[in-house]
Amino acid sequence: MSDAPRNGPGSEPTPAEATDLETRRRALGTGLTDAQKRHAPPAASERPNGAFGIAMRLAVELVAGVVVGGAIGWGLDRWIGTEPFLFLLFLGLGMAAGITNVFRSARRMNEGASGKPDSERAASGEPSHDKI
Amino acid sequence: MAAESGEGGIVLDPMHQFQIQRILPLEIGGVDVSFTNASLFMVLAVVFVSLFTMASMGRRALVPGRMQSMAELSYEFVANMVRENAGTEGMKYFPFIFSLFMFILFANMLGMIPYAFTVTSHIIVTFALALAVFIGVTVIGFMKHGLGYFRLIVPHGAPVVLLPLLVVIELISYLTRPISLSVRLFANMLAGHTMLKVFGGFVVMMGVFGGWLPLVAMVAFTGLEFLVAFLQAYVFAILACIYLNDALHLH
Repeated sequence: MSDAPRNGPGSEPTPAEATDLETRRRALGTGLTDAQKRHAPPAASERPNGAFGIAMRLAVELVAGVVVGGAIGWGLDRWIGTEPFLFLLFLGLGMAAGITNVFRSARRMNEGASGKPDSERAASGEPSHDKI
Repeated sequence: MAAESGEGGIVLDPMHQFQIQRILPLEIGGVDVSFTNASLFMVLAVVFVSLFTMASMGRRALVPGRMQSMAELSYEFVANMVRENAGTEGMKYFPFIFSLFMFILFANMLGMIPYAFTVTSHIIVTFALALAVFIGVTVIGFMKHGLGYFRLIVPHGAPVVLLPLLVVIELISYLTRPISLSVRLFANMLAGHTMLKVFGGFVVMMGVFGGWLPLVAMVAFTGLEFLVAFLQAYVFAILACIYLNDALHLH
């Protein structure tokens, strides 16, 4: 309101000025809601997960890698008939994949804990990968 | 409840709550498609989500009432999650993520009602959900990038000699997604509900004199379980968003 153009005390705004005022008001309105959105706490995304949650998540990642690798090797073995070599090979590869996954999720968690706040990222429009 | 104090002692069976019971036996073409308690609670979850969103948004007031606020809150919560994790492009898939989140949330929360059945404590349910996400994301990736989607499993900057090894590892890592996604949700719900039942058994076993301590723990655990119920729905949805982001924006 205070930044509206004033011609002097008591003077009525001309129609052109009125539309100008309207556009300004609208711009201010959108600016205000954007600012409010940025300042609102990012709902639940910075929730503490707890040590148990983190441990669980990483353990699951590790085990899933081994399970999938073992399953692929077992299936290939049965298909080609090379028991038990491919199973052993893919079990090892699965462990490697599991450890890769653990590293990745741990890094995401770290970035989530120390990275810039979500609101900034949301404002710049770039997607983030750093949670969970 | 599994813990029952009979005349001859206490029967404690914390896993009893996860048993599937046929409500309406049905068989089509030799396949058992009975309507079970699991089906019932899945239907209930869908019904409650629909009621929640439709009833609360039925009277679209400019100044929202309590229910409308909750519906708008959940909408904006999921919308922000999709936008932040999968970019504006990901908003195309907002309806799916929203349904996914609300279904899991309501299934988890319904499971917190005593005597209710927790659908998400069954791996087949969570695995089906995770598989839907996995297949959907893979299809989106191939539709958007064609065969270039395979670049996702080729790490850049790696020596050529190691590439075959790394590609296999990355492929396995990609294939673990549905498993880690489903096991996480399932294991959390299973562990939580089993723990609640076990501690409930302690309260009964220790009686009026010693039962107060586990009862206090029970109250705390129940609160924790409500948090876990929400958090796991959130984690599932956000991981779906992250996978979607991988498919949309190939790095």
